[in-house]
Amino acid sequence: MMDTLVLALGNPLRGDDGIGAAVLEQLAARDLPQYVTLLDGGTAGLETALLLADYQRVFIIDAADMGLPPGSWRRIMPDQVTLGETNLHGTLHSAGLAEALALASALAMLPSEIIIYGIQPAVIGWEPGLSETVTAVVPVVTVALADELIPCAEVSEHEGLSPLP
Amino acid sequence: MTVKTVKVDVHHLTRVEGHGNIVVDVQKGELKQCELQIVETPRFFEAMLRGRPYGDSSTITSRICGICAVGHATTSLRATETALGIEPTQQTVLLRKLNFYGEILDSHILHAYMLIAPDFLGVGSVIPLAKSAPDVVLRALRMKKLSGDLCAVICGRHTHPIAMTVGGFTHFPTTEELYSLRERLEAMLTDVTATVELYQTLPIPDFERDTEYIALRKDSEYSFIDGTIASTDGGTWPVSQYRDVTNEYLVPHSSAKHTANQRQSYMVGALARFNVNHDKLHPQARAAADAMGLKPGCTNPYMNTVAQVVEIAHATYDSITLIDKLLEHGIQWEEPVAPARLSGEGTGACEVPRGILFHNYVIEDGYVVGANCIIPTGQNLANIEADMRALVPQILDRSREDITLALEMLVRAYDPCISCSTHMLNVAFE
Repeated sequence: MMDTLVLALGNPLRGDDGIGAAVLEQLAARDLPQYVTLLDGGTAGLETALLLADYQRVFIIDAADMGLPPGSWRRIMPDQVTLGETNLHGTLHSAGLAEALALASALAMLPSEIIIYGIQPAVIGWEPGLSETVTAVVPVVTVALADELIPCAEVSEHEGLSPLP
Repeated sequence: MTVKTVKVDVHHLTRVEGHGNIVVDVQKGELKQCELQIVETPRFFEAMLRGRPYGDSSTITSRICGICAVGHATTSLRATETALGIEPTQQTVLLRKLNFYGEILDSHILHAYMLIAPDFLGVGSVIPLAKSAPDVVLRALRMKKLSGDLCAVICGRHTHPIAMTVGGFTHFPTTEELYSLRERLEAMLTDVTATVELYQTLPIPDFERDTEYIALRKDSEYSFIDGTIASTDGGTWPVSQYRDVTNEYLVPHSSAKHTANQRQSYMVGALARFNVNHDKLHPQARAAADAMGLKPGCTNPYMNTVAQVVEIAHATYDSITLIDKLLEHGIQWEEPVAPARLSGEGTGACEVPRGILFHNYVIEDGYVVGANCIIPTGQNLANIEADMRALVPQILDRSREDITLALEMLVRAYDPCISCSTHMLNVAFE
C-alpha cells in the first residue's frame, strides 16, 4: 500500500487551532496499517516540503477559516489552498502550509495525493483547549480519516455523519 | 520651482523577519529625510521577568524570537549564572556551543538562500527559484533540516529549547545521536562548498562606508558565547560594562532604541564578527572568505551575507570538532550546577546570528527584580540609516525601481529582525 502521512498542523495553545493535534491523538488510539505515519507538525514551515516528499499520500489536518459555521469541515484539495479560489480563505497556517506546498510543487516533489481536512474554528484565542462545537467534531473527523486510512473499513462508525454539502 | 515626486509603494519590505518602513525624501537633490521606521509595539519582556523565579527567565526570553530562541536562552542563562555565581561544566560549555551552531546555521542558511539569493538570481522569492534552480533550494532545505535536527538532539527541539537550564542540561544526547549528527555534518561539507561557490558568483553591490564594528572577542576561539566586547575603532569592555558600549537613546520614528558607541552608530552581526575575529576562524572558513573576496577591514554592509556564509563554513567544521571532543570525553549525565548565592546582578552576552545580544538581570532572593535585554537589530538601526544616507546620493541617477531595490537589499543584508510594522518606501526628488 501507499506510504501515507497524516500531518496535524496547528498550535494547541491557541484554542481551536489545536483541532489537528486532537484528531491525531484519537487516530493514534486506533489500529492503523503499518504504512501510515502520524505526525504532529505544529506550526510547520518550509521544511514541510522535504517531509512531504517521503510519502505517496499525505493527509493534512488543520483549522481553516472557510467562512463556514464553526465546526464545519471540508475535505479540501491542495489547489484550493494554493490558488486561494472558492470560499476558502486559506488555512490559519497558510504562510507555512501554502508556501510549503508551493515549494514542494515547484521542486516537483509533491506526493501524488494530498488531502486536506480543514475544520472551521469557533475560537482562536490565547489559551489551550477546544471549543465545545469543535470538540464535538473531533470524533467525526477521526472516523472519516480512519475510513480513508484503513482499506475496506471493517466498521462504519459514521452514523450518517458526513461533510456538510 | 517644481519638485518631482516619485512614490514607490512596496507594501511590505519582504524577506526580512517582520516589517519596517523605509522613508527616504530627496528634494532638489538634497536629502531631507532618511529613516528606517520601526513602529512595533514594545513587548515588555523585561517587565514579564520581574517577580519571576530566576529559573523561568530563559524559557520566557526564548520567546522573544523564533529564529534566535537558542541565542536568547543561552544569553539569559549566562546572565543568571553570572548573577548567581554558577560556573558551568566543560560538557555544558561544549553542548551549548554545539547547540548554538545549530541555530547559527539554521538562521544563516535561511537568510543566505531564502531571503538574499533571490535578489541576485533575478527572482521574487524562493518559490520561482525552486523552479529555475531546484538543486539550490533542495540544498538549502537539506542544510536547514540538519541544523534544526542538531538543535533538537541537544536541546530537545528545533526551537525554544527545553533541555537547557540554569547550570546545565536536563537531557543529554546519546552517543549514537552524536555519531549520526557527525556523519550528516561530514556529508554537509559538500553543500557548504557549493554555498561558497554560489556566493562567489553573486554580484554583491559595491558600496563602502567606514564603520565601527563591535563583536565579542576571545583569545581562544571565534567567539559566540561570552568574551570581551571589542571594537574595530579600538577599545575593549568587559560584558558587565555593556551600557558603556550601547549608550541607548530614543528617536521619534522608532519604538526600538538606537545605540551609539564611539561614533554616531556601529554595526553588529556576521561582518562585525568577521572584522573583529577573522584570525580565529577555522582554516576552511578563512579559505571560504578568501574565495569569496571577503577581507578583514571590509566596510561594505552588503558583504554581511558573505560573512554569514563564512560562518556557515566555520560552524559546520567546528561542530564536527565539538562532537569529536564530546565523544572523546563520553557524555556524562550531570546535575545542573547549583547557585552559589540567590542574589546578585549578572550580564550575559552572546553573538546570536544578527549580532551581539545582551541580557542583564538583577536577582534578589531567587526572584528577578530587574531585567534589560538589548537586541542586535536595535543596535544596527542607526547604522542602517547612516548607510542609507551615504548610499542614496550615490544612486539618485537610477530608476525608481532600482533605488527601491538597492535600499531594500541594503536593509535585508543586515538580516534585520523587526516585528509588526508596515512598509512604505517613499522616494521624492526633483
